[in-house]
Amino acid sequence: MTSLLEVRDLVVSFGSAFSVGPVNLAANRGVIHLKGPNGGGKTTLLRSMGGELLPASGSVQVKGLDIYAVTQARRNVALITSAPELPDFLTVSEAYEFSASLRGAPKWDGQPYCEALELDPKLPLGHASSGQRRKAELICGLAGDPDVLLLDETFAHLDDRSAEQLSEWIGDWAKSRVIVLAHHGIPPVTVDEVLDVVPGS
Amino acid sequence: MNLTTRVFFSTIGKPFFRRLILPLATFLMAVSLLDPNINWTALREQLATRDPWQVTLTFTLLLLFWSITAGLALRPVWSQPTIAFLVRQPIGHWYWVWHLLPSLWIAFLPVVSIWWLAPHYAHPVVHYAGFVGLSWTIMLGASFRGLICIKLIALGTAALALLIFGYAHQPWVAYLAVIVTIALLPMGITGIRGQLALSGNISPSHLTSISPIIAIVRRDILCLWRLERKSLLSLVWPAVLVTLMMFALRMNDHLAGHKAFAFACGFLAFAVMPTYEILTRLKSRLGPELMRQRWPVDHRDRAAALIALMCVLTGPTIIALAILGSTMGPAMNLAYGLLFLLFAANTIVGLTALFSRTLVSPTPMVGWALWLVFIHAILATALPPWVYGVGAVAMLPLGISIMLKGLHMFTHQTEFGNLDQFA
Repeated sequence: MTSLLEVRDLVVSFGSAFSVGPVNLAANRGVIHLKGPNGGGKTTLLRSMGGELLPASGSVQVKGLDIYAVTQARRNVALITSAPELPDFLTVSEAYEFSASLRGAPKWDGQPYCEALELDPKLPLGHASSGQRRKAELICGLAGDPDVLLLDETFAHLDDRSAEQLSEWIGDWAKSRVIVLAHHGIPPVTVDEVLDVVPGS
Repeated sequence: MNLTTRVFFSTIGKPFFRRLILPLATFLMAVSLLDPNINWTALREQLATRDPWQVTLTFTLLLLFWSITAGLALRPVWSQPTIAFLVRQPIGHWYWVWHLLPSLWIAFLPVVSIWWLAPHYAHPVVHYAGFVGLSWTIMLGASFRGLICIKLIALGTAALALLIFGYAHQPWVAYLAVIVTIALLPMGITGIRGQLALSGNISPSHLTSISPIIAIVRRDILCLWRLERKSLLSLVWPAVLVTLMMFALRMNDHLAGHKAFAFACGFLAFAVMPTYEILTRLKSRLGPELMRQRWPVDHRDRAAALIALMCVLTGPTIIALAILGSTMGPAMNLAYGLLFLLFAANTIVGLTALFSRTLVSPTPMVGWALWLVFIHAILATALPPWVYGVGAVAMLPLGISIMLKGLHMFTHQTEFGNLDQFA
């Protein structure tokens, strides 16, 4: 039976200067904690698992579909990066509507998430604080309800209430989705599996 | 020029001057066109004999019109990061006025020229200083956004009208105008700080769409509309111009057949040139967000979205030229109508293909784009129609494949930009 997320012998390298992996992973649900030192390759691994960086070797499959070869497979994966990426000229609602449309889920509604995180959907991203921006990026990642969530230091910059809310959501999502969480220290959620990431490992 | 004045001049004066060139040129052109037919001295004397309310209306409207034009040219200057730095400094209103005035002097040349027409009853220096200074308030008001804009324009215009009316009766009103100008100046300066704190509310639009391609096109248009409105306007003038010229040619020259086709191609080539510049601006605004490798869409979708965007930008001109040059169309000659559509399609695909190649290049290749459009127009008009038609049909798939390759390379490079640094 195919796993929801299956990572096989994944090695990502930047020439001969840096490499991470091989990483093996198979999960149908639950929270996987990526831990490691700064510069260890956690973000690089997440970017590769999100279909952004082509690996030097190995494969990433979601529901049996190769994430690099099959465009549709990327609909089921969302990478929420630690650095803000959404363009400043969009409002929060426009940003999540755009993400949802790209994922083929134009009717997806981000309003309940905005309310729960106390975020104004009309807020232009260019005027958002780093915490508000993080919330907006999170909601955009959730657009279309992807099965695999790759969260890169998502708890950083969040206020206590929002962090608590996110922990609660991750607890719920983990029952049916795979959540890969890169986080320094002990994550504020129940973790099912821990993956140590060290360069060249 | 001391260092502070230089900073003010380079931050405010230079960009303002650049933006004012077109209105100034238009003003000078209007004056030079009117000059052979108007005796300005006689007009000045005639104005002196008019009712004060007529004089008031004439000068208030003229000064208001110019001040608002100059104010709109000044508006983008306040959004520069250096302005925020200057506003933070412990400098007072009068210091600002002292350094700002030399940077804006160019805007006051037309104001002085307009006000020269008003007969002066007070000392010439007071005559000019008072009333010309009042237009500063209106100009600053027009350069701001929000309530302060309406307040300053209303206050400045009302003061200007009242004082011009009063000046027609009492010469000392000119001195009062100087005092009112001095009183209003600090209010204008306060507005600069207010511009930095503006929330810049924008009414959210909807980007929801069944097709990712349409969502991308709408997002791109939103980007251009919110950040590059001026570039979009640069597309309107050539389009209006060529439409009017085509209309005039049709009315006076009875265009038909190949002649109509040649003019339509030439006009279209001229009108679409700014679209390439708009695409390069879109690229600089969006950066890697133009197309991310991890999006669940591929480069073919992005290419389709770019073509669709180009169609939106050039569509109105193409349709206008096709209708006005319709003597080349179904009624007279269907072949020329189809050829024109082929020419338009090839132009769009050619420009988009070139743009997609520049995505991985540090230079925007604007010169190449101009040559491409120019040579294409010459080929379309000079070659026998069937030769051009065959060539154009053959070139379309080539252009599309170049575009696809360019976009594929762009997403690859964007996501692997850091890889090159390591290697």
